[in-house]
Amino acid sequence: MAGQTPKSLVALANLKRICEEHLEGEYRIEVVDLLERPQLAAGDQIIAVPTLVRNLPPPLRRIIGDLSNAERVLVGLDIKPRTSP
Amino acid sequence: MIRQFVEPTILPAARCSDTERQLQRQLEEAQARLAEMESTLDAIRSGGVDGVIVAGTMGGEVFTRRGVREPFGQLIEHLSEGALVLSRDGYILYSNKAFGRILDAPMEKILGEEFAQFLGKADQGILGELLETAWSGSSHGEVNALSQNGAIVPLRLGLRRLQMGPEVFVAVVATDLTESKRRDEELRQSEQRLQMAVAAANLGAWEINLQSPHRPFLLGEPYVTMFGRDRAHLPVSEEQFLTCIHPEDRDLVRRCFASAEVHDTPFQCEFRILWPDGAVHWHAIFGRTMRDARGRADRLVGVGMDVTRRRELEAELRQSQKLEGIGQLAGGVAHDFNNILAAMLLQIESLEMGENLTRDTRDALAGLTTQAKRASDLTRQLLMFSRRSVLCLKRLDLNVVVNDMVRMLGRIIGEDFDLVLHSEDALPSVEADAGLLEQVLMNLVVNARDAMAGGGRITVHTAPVSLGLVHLAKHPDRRPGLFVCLTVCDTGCGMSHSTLKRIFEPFFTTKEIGKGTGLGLATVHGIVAQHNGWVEVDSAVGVGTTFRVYLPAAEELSVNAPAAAPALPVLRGTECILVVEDEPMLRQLIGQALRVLGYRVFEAEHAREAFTCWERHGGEVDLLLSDTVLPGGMSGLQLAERLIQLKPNLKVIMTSGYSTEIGKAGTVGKAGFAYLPKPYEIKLLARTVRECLSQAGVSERRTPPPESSRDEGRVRQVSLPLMTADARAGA
Repeated sequence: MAGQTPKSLVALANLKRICEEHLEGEYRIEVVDLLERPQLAAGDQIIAVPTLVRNLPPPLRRIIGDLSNAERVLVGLDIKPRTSP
Repeated sequence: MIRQFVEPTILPAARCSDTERQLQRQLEEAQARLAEMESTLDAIRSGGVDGVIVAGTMGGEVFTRRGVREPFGQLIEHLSEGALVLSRDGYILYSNKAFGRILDAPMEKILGEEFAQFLGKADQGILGELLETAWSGSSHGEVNALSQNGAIVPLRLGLRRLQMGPEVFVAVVATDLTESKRRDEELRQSEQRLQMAVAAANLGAWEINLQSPHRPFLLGEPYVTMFGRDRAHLPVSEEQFLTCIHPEDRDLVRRCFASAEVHDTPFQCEFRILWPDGAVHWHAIFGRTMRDARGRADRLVGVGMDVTRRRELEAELRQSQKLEGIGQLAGGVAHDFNNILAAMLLQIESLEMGENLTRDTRDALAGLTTQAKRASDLTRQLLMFSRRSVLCLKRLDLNVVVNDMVRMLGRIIGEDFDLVLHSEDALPSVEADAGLLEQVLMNLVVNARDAMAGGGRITVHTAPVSLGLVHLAKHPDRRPGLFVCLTVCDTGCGMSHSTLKRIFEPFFTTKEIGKGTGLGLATVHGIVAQHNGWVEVDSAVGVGTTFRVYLPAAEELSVNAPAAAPALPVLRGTECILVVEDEPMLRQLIGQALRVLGYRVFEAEHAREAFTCWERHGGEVDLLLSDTVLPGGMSGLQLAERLIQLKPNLKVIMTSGYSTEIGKAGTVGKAGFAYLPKPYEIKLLARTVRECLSQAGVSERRTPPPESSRDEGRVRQVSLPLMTADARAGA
């Protein structure tokens, strides 16, 4: 995130809810404020914030936005298989 | 189109070659990356981001959208209170820096964590309830948080429902109470100390509200007892408070209050409070004006205390100082008067020795002698009151004195009176003049009898009393130590407060004219004071009076009875006597009387003349008869000391109306000299001179008994120059 903004707030709230629902006890969240530590953006190839980066397990996954679309987050995190439209 | 291209192709695994599987994975990865890119572009296009990251020389540079970090955000960041946004289930979604400081934790350890995990176990339930309540509005409460360094941090939490678009959160303001709790505790301790001090001093707080029209009067806890009223009748306004005050003192208090409203200096005043039961209590109040922010007099606040006991003690002290003054005057007059009486009596006596006197003349002379002796008795009593009588101190058992006296007094006071004696055994001895103590007991018993017109009971009681510091408040003369207490208690008419205040004044009497001299109790007071003791009186009108005489117990020593010298029948002699007396008439009469008795006499006016005489006739002189107080700087005692150094077997008789010298050095008896109080008759003079000269060997007489060796030594070692600057010539 870049500063604690309404969007990042909502994103964190959504993430917390999704994780508790689907990954209870098997996840760890690290909140990185790029205004405090901008150098961390490069490593994860972050283009815009707020962005959720899944570091583990590989491969790296990025989901941008306030994570209000739970379906998209679950697919992005490979928790749900991609389905046909 | 793209979707069609990346449509996953599900092929049976067994039929897939390795190449196919690799292609499949690459395809899936590409599909995922593409979806990621699409959603990124989507988000940027639709404004779903706060900012974008652009590669820079030192890593990424962050370009945030305008308004993301708005001024209010800055404000919250810089609050000293912790500000949090929690999800409904209590996760920390936002925290300002202050909250990190409060818990001594970095942001990474706070964000996304459950708020409850920072609280003690007991407080986690409280948080749950607070969250639940806040969800439908707001809530607040206090919890203890655990800081990362292990400290317990008391927090006040304010929670409020926070709606942001479709999402609902809970906003929390967390105030660190550590400092304020510490201040509360300090305040509480300081208040406790103040309360203890106030209670120990028996101080009561009061306050008058000056801005309210009725000027309400408020009383603190201990002060409510100081008005003698139950709570329902305590004053509640300044006016009511003033009506509790003695009418004569109201103006004083009004003036005090009025002046305090104008001046900012603290004030203090003492006044009388009237209790509903008629008692008068002295109060002292201290206070000052408190002003409001605009400088207007807002309240008069202060403390007050009941100082009745202190005022009483002060009055007693003033009274005893007054008695002291009267005593000095009376003693001075009596001393001069004694010299005149002594001369008169001696002259009358020598006239009576004439042979050719008519019967009328003899009767007249006898009448003169009687009158002069009465005058002499009166001066003797005055001297006792003024503590100037010469003490003949001996270590004695008060019970022996009291037993003998009570037996005799029983006969004197009459049949209507019941004289009861309770004497406690094992009384410590006192160092006292037995004769004077008899006088004290007689005066008190006679006084008690006179207070009981129709008869009654007089109880005499002796007891040892040990006084500690806690007993001292009752009487100003009290001091710690072991005392013997002689109590005389009657069932008589008692005394009013105003009488009680004056009973020790000489010539104060409630008896009819001619019935009492008014010297009885004054004498008691003087004698007891001279014994380093004091007298306490309790009296109630119609109930009776109790006198308590306190005498200091003597240090424990074995008592050995001195052998009484047998009276000698022969009163004449031929020895050589040096008479030192500054009163010319008296000196001449003494000389004449002694010569008639056969003695050889040298006369001197003062010490210097005595030494001149000694140079020529010192070898012949057997006895020094000297006044104690002499003009010219050297006292009779000092003269005697010097002459004894020159002639150790010299006998000494000291005469005096009174003597402060003797009082200081102990007593004449202790110093080893004989003592002849003025005024005296020729017969007494003759007997004393004869007894003194006929006493056993000088060395034996002067050898001090063991218990008095210290005093003896002190007197003996005095070796002053002939003429000192000590001009104590009062005579």
